[in-house]
Amino acid sequence: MPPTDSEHEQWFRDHVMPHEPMLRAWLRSQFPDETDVDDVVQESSIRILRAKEKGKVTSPKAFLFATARNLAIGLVRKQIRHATFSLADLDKLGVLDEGEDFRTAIARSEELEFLTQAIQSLPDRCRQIITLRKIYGMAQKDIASELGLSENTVVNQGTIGMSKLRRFFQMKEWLPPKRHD
Amino acid sequence: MIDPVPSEPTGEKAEVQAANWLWRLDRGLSPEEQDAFFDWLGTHPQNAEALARHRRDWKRLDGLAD
Repeated sequence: MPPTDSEHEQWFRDHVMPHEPMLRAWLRSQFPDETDVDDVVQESSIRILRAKEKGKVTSPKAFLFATARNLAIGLVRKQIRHATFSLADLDKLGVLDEGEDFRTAIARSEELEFLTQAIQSLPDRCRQIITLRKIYGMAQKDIASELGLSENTVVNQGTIGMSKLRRFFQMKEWLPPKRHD
Repeated sequence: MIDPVPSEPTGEKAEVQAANWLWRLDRGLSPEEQDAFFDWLGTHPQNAEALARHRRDWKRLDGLAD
């Protein structure tokens, strides 16, 4: 993965490399051969850098995974042409071509990242209360005694928190992926 | 304690009031609050819309718990 200059190198380290473990894990589930995995990771990295140099990468993660998926499809097709395939490979092609679970997984991980950012943007007190209520599923009464607050304070801080979250969501204008069914 | 409900909610106010009702609804309303809630809800269409938005956000946060 050879970035050409330090600016792109930095960008690559910050925005692409963090996704590599997940990419490898997914590729390994499709390709038993580690060489194939390496090839696809390598080629995807080169392509994302090339695209970056042309200024065309808005979501590195999405770009990386989409590229890797296309390369993986190409690889399976090649293996089929060279008759080194088994019936399992045909299955693989179907899975890769469809890729629905995969896209869902990506959308979901982006949604989680986004929600985490939203929660982290809150002042401490609001964040604690919303976290205890929504992630740990605690009742407001229990949150009040856990934090040594009155139940009214829990309502009021929670109100501030949800109002701030609303503004955060609105500002980012990021909507969860709609399901068309 | 029930905060007074202003009769002409601006968008911002409706938003905050709705968030407040969301938390009260979540902990359970007293009979007195129930009346106040329905009054508030009927006062202005903006109120119901704001509450719906907060409910959606509230539900969306459940994603973090799965």
